[in-house]
Amino acid sequence: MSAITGPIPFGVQDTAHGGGHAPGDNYLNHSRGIKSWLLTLDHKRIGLMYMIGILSAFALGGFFAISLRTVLWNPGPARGASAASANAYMDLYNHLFTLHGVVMVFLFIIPAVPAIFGNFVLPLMLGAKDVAFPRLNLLSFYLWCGGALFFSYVLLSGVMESAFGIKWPGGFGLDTGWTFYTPYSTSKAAGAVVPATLGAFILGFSSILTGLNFVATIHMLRPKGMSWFRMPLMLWALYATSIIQILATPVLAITLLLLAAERALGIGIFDPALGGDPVMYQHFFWFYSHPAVYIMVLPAMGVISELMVTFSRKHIFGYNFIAASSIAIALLGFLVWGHHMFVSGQSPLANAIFSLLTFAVAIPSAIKVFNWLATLYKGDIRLKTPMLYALGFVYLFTIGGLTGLFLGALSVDVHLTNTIFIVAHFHYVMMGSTLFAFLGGMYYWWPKMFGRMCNENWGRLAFLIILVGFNLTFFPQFIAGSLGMPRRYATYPIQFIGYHRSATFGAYIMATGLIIAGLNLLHGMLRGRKAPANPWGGSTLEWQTPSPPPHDNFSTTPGPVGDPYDLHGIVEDKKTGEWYRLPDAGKPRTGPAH
Amino acid sequence: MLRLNPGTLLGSSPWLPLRASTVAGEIDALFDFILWLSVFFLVLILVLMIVFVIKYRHREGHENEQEPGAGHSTALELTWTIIPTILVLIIYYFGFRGFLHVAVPPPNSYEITATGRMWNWQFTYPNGYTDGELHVPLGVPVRVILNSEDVIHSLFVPVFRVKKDVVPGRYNKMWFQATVPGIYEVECANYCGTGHSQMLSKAYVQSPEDFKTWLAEASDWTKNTSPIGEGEKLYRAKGCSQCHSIDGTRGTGPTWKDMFGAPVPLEGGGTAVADEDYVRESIEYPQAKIVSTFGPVSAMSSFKGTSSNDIFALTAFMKSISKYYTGDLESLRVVPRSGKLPLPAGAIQSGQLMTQPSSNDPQPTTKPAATRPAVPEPLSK
Amino acid sequence: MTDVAHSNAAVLAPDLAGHNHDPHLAHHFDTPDQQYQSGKLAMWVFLGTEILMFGGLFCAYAVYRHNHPEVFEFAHRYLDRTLGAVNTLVLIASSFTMAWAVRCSQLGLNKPLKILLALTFLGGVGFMGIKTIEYEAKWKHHVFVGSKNKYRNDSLKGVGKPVDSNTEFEEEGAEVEPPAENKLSAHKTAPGAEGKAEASHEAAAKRSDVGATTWGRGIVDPNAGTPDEAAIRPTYADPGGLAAGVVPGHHGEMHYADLTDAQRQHVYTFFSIYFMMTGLHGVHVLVGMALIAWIWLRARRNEFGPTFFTPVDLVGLYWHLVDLIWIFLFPLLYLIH
Repeated sequence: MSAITGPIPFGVQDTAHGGGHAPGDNYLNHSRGIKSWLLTLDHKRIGLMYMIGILSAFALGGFFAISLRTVLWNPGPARGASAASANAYMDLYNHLFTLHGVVMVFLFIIPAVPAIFGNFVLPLMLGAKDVAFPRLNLLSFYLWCGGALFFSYVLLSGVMESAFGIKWPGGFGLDTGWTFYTPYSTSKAAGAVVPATLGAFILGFSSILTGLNFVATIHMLRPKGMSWFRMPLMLWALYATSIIQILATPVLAITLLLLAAERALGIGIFDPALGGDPVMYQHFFWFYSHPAVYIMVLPAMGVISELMVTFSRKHIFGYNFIAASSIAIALLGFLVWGHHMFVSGQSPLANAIFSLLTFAVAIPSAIKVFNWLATLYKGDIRLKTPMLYALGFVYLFTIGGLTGLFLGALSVDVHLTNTIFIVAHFHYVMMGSTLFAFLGGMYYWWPKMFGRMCNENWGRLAFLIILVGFNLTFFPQFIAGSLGMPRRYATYPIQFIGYHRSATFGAYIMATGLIIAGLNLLHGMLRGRKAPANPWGGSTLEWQTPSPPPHDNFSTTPGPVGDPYDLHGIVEDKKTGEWYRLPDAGKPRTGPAH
Repeated sequence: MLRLNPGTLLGSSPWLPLRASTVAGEIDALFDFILWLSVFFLVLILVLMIVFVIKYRHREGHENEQEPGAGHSTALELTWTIIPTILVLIIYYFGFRGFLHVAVPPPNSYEITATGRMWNWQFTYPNGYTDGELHVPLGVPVRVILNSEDVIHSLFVPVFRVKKDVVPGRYNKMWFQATVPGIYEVECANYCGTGHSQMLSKAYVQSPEDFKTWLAEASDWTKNTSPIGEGEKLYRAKGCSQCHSIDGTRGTGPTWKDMFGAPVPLEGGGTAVADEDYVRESIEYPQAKIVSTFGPVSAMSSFKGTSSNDIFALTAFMKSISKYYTGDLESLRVVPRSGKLPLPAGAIQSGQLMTQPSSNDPQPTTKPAATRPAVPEPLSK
Repeated sequence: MTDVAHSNAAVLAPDLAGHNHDPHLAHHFDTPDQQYQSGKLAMWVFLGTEILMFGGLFCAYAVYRHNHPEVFEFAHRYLDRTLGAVNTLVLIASSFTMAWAVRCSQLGLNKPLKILLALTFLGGVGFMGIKTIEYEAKWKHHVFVGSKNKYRNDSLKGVGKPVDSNTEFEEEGAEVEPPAENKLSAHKTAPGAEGKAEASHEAAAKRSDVGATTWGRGIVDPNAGTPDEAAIRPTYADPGGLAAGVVPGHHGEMHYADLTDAQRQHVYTFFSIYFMMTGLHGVHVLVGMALIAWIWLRARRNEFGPTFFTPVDLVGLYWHLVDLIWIFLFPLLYLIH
């Protein structure tokens, strides 16, 4: 480095090292044409393509959510409805909640943070040019598309059957619940179970290959100087997520294969009518699907750690504990699947062990929350839109986590399980937490992705609307559930009408907020103010490259690679709000955190 | 029918329904403990968060107050590791203890078998009587053996705080001891298809004497109901009504209105006359003759094992709502009293009804089980 | 500071650093070794996922075998040990040629490399050929998957199958018919054949009673085969549907006659597990063969040598895994007794 004194702006081209990028050349306009996108090996473009697909899936799943909440506005079909129309009413609901679950879980929330942010920022945070296997990365994306095609078949078969009476092979729609419990899914359901399971099977491989790629990237492409304990916490979270994807998804793959074979051929492994064991299916399924919950929430926690640091202007508190708790959650997450089956008739001993391990997972989650709080302490907090989402995350995740205590306690779980208390609990964790982190991440990295800023006021307004709508939707479900309202009920006793109407009303509010947030992002992408390289004053490496980054990510040497959260020397120009760094910024110094 | 008793709300969470079993108190106590603990931590975290955000917000002249650099405090980390650990261990212990009370029935419990099928419940009492509703004696431990005939269901009685999956191919059990007389909701808690939310029943908690009287009277329909009346009752109790309408509308299965005696077009061609034997066969082997447009596979599962008396009653009910039946209906409207059923001559062909004997009837003599058949030898050896 | 810049030299300055590089070196790696190590790491992790995928099947196998040892002992005799053993040898031999091929590629011996890859590919062909012969025999003898298996018994659907009928293999075409229909038609159309039809009907009814409860009249335990409710064991001690049967004190081979009715219900399970395991393994062999063909084509173009042999190495690892899985499958399925 040349001897510069005084503040240096971020993202300047360092011609001394031969960074040969023309000004204005970035990954978005580096090459043109649809083919240059569809066949791209650039992790940033792949991340954006994922984003388009995943957000479409989110819109679709949201449509189903709004529809099913609309069905639940009334406690049941109109009085005097014939048996046939009552059945149609209930079937409609059953299809809606199943499709909502399947689309949201497999197409949206599992890939959301790893596939979009993981792809986009992981190599940038490492100061690397790409992920370890760019072709494999593109293959993962197309596998995701392949899985989505199968789900499209399921949807269209339902539309064809119900609207035009045209039968497609395999059944129509999907009415099994996203868990595909046997023997209902294998012998009774009318839905297109085989296409749906094959779709999830293919998505599983997309997930495995992405995890594989990230693990290899983090192991092999870290720059010199970035030891494990100098990685940004987002990378720890993605690493933990990748471990789960690699270890759990193959089991789901074989389970779904067996399920499809059971449905198509009747192989009798899960179907009790053929001598099989349906509870074994549940063990297999939850061995994947419980860790999958952590696939959903761990990367979200990584995003929150980044946001907390940048917007508190303070080093993360307890780096080692947060990093270790990510790994602890990933590993413990493999040992708790049985808590989905406390009332299935497994032995009390198994229940006792699973319950204990379940409580063990609560500890690392609590550690994270307290460390984030301590990060706020004595900071210089800026309530930008991403930070609002981070604070919202802490609030919702705390409720989600605390209500988990009810469900981990065996005797209380017997009463609460399979009621809408569960629905509320996992929406607080999966939707409240992960979605808030996802939106926070969108607003945080959006300037990096597109080089333009979003409108802060609209962003904050949307956050408030979503927050209110979310709580109106799901908090009443805690009460209704503990009062004995079972989940997946198309019709319900009249005394629950207040809770259900509040939930439906809240869902509309939330949808409004999400639409505002989405329009704001879109507007920012097209018309927003030009973004500097480091609009938030972030300390991790991705902020050292211009926004949007050039094709090869970095035109100057990223670094120095020291403590990732050392904000010392990253200073704000009080007049313009631009961020600069002092020449000694980020130099490794003696300190406890590495 | 959930009855919230204001008295029980005192000192207890308004989040929970009436406590009507011996284990409910313990479960509710733990629920309340976790609830207040959660409220405490939620308020703590929220207050800290809001105070920090206000106090340390970015403003003119405000700087990061702490020396920048790594923030860390082993003492703090240990505090918020150890305190939650202790708390969750306490919750775990009481949860497990309560669960043992829920899981292990006392000896000599009164035993009722609950059978789930899409989409109704059947409760079989020790004398063999089956009813669509659950009646239990007050203050007596009741063990319920759970079995499913098709898919997984889950028996849930919120006021008793008990729930257990009903899994085909295995017997799960649950038990409870009711403490408050009343009529309560019984629900299916595991998604089981179209009618999942209609798979409801009632639990009647009666004094032991009332229970005994009820069971004795309910058990013998021939003493107090006509075949048609009983058929109508069975139509609802056994869940036929879930799929078969009696007003001519199309349900999951064909309507029963004007069905008996009419020619029925069959899936795959041909017709059959809906006579007594057709009805019996359709009940026992639903896949044998499937009405055209309801196939290719019937959604109905086999009701094999329905007693001949019950089939007779159901057939009588079908006759009463069919214009194609021209025979005598009067005798089917009379309470048999004798326990013997009026079998009108000619209405039932040569003992067809008897080919599926009830358990009390003598077994056919051609019983092949005496000799073990030869074994197919494996090929490779 | 300088070492960071050095490590990122290739990343940061492709135009300067890229020219004198190995053509196989991807632009985002610094050194061929880093690239090779990345590939190797990813392959090992991928093999781990493969093992976990088969792990699910091994788990199902372990559970059912633990619960029904005599069923497995009986049913495994349908498998041809000799063919299985030959297949094991074929795979081990092909694994050997594969390892040798990897070594040749590292030494730059291109001609032996091509020959050894071809031999390995032929090993795969041989394995799949023998597998086909085995499957065909299963098909012929009605112990295939789905409805092509005479031991399959749809107990909950009211369609019982007389698995203990005394017909020989030759007569089994007729046996595949659902007996419920046999019985009904026997009543209506062939009252003359009452005796035989009645017998098979009786057996069918008995069988289906075992699985489906006699509705409205007490409960029959499908596992214990007793109508005695008091005998129903606690579910957690002995999960229904997986209950361990009574192991008869025999010392010879397991015969069908030695199995209880409840055990006979699970004979079909063995075949399902057999076909799922060997079928999935077969798919892996096919994938391995495709990969070998692909690197054989690349070897023809002389692509491999001491500086670049990663694809051969990785395909070799994959092929060894396929071999290894078979080495577990063979004794577990063929050599039970």
